[in-house]
Amino acid sequence: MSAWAWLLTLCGALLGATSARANPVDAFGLGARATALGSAYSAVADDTAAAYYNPAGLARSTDLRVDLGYQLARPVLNVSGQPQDLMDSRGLIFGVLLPGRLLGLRFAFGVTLFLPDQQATRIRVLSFDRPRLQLFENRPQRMFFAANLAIHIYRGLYLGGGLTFMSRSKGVVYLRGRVALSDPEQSALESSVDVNLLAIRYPQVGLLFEATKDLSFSLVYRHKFLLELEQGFNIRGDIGDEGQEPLVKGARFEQVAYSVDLFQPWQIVAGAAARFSSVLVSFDLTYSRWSEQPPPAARITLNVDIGRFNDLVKLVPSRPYPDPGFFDTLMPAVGVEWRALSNALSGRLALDLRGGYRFEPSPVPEQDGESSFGDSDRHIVSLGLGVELSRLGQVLKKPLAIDVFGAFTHLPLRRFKKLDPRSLVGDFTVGGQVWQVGGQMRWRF
Amino acid sequence: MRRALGRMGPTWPRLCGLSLVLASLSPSPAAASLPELFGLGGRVSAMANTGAAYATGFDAAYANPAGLWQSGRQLTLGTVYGGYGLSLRSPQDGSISPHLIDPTAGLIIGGSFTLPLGGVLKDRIGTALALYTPFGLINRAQDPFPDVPRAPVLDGRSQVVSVLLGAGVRLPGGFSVGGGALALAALVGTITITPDGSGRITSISEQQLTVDYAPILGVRWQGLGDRLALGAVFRGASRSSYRLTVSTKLGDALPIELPLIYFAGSAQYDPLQLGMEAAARLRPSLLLVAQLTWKHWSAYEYPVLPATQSAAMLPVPGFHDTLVPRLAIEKTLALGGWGELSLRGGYQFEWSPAPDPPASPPKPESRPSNLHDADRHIVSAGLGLRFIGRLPLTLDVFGQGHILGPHSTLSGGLGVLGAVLGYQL
Repeated sequence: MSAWAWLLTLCGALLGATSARANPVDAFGLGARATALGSAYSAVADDTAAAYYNPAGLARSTDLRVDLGYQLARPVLNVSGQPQDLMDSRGLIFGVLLPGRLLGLRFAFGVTLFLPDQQATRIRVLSFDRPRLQLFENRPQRMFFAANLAIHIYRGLYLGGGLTFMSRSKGVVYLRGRVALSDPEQSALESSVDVNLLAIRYPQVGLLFEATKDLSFSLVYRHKFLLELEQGFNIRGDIGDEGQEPLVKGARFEQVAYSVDLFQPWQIVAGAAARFSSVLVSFDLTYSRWSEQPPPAARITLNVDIGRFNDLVKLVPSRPYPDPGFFDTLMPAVGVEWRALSNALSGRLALDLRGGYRFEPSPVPEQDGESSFGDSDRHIVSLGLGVELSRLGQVLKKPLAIDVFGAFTHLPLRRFKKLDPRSLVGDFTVGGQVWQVGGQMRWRF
Repeated sequence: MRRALGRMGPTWPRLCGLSLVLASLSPSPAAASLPELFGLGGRVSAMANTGAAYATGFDAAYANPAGLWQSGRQLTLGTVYGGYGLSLRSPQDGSISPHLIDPTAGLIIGGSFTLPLGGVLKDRIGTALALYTPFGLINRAQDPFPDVPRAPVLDGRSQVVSVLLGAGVRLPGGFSVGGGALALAALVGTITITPDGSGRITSISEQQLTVDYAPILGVRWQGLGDRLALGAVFRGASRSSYRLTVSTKLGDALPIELPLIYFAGSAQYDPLQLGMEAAARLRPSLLLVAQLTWKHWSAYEYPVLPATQSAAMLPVPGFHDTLVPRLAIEKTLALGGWGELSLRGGYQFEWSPAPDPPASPPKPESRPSNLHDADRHIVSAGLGLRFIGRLPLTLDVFGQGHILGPHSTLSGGLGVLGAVLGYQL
């Protein structure tokens, strides 16, 4: 899509409750090397994954780079022991890094894309009171596209920034005609659509400092974004069967829904990476401002005028949903990379072994009221392997890197208790695992 | 095009295979309406949307990806603005009223590079990314009721993001091939409006945006010492479609039951097309271009489908295929040792696919068509400035004037201006 452009156009027209999500890169990482290192990558990044982890890292490279890979994440989660129908997050990773010089200043431009292969985007909306896995429902079903520019400021100091692109929709869908009373399927309605998919561009900026050739520090800011949907659904017409005098003329059914379909908190990441001989150790600490999460549900305004039947209308007036009361979170991540083989096969082969751990505390509070957002802390363990092939002949003069990874996320069982014993939902539990695998090739030219 | 062709070894079968792989790995999410309407890039837009035989930069991603092997390494940033001045005459009373279309205003971003490979692949493979994004907008769906007049070939067609990714490979014998893809969104899903546990109205929905790819394939031959180039480009039909089913289950809360409602149609549509082009360099500084493009508009369907099973039959567009001839010229002047100035111009005749007057209803119960379009005479001009030296910049500016031909209801014209700045990395 356009790009993925249509997703939100009409689905937003009629949306009700929605849930909070960010993007698959937030949830599962981007690229085989970064994910293998537990996403502790802000001070390590020098490839196209820097578009997400730290844009400043783009300017480290003096080579033109092309990265191509594929990654898959399969959530196996349950609510009260019942397996949930959650889709895989799987898709193509593609990135290009173009370095250059302008007036003596080294710079690089990079674009990075994660394109899910099942659908560009998915929206699954459940009613507000239904227990759901708040951060997994739609969070992985998004395309990610970022464009960044980075410059080498001075002796080991890099600055980078750019935009990630999302969209929101706003508009009205009109219907007019005749609604049949005895058999609704005999209704004759025609539609008119006036919906805009508006661009949302949210910035990210990063700083990277190479204190020595073996020690780097990083600081990254990712801005928050809200994906708001403001949509109307408007039916005007007569009520009555075909060939008969309408029972009601000029009836109307109008609905306006405002909802926050997607929310990403602003984040600050501080990181460091140190190389000790053949071992690279990296660490990231991410602060996420989840407490600004708005109610992940729609505010619906209904206006119904069906003439003589108005007295029979029993629609309950809408009221705002309560503040979800999410917590801010602090997420540590650590990664280790060991060059197990270097200069093997007469200098043609190098082998890296990687591992990482990340802890993501859940931002979701106890659900003792009417909402039922399920979530649990996440412990993510990852392993990876990287092969660097050199001296590949005349065609490819610079090393080619091939990386694979696997990761396992454990969500310990979390129990949510309702204060009101008459709650229709009742107590519920959430837990499970997420499995990830992926591979990537990274070319340097 | 001036670049001398390099060595051409007996490796073309491998290169053909590689080009197909590259083409298959070149997805891009987009609908291509701005490129289809005005061209994409400062040079090709100034030259009547030609380029199948000569475009080599990011603009070749749409004009003909076969030229991308010559792209060098360049970043491009530009802007485009277009205004519309159309009027519609009422067939009933003859009154004339303005037909309002929002201005075209957006950003063009491009990046292209020839892969710096060695050996048999040296200077053989190039790729490019091209992006047009309207300011503040990604897509627009504006489908009025069937009785409201509309100009579907012009209405809102530049109000959609266009992203193109392509790759080109040089083959022996002066040939090159290229491929790219437009990834197009198709929205499918269901929505149920229903009360939640507390009786408040909410909705349960499941929608997916799937991606369909429309290919762009091209071939080019350059010979006679680079004095002649022939290009052919095929672009698949691109459609941004949607289909949602809405059911309302309000039970006792509403005394009437609403039918199953379908929102379905196409938000954007570009026809399948095939273009053939010849570019001749009569002198090193003079380029002449002629192109003929066939557009398969007869496959165009009414952009909205009936909302309910028993709705009145919708109009039939009755569009026909068209041929679009294009002519262009480029004269390049040396500016001492520091740069070059190119003067460009072109003309194209955009034959309207819509019948005039609009098509009659096929059945008495059908609505008459309200789709209006007129032939367009398109005159384009532009300048290109290329600096040589420490600051390797290019600046291309262009303008296009679209003048509508005689038509029973639609009159007026439109114009577009653009400027594109390139930096050779």
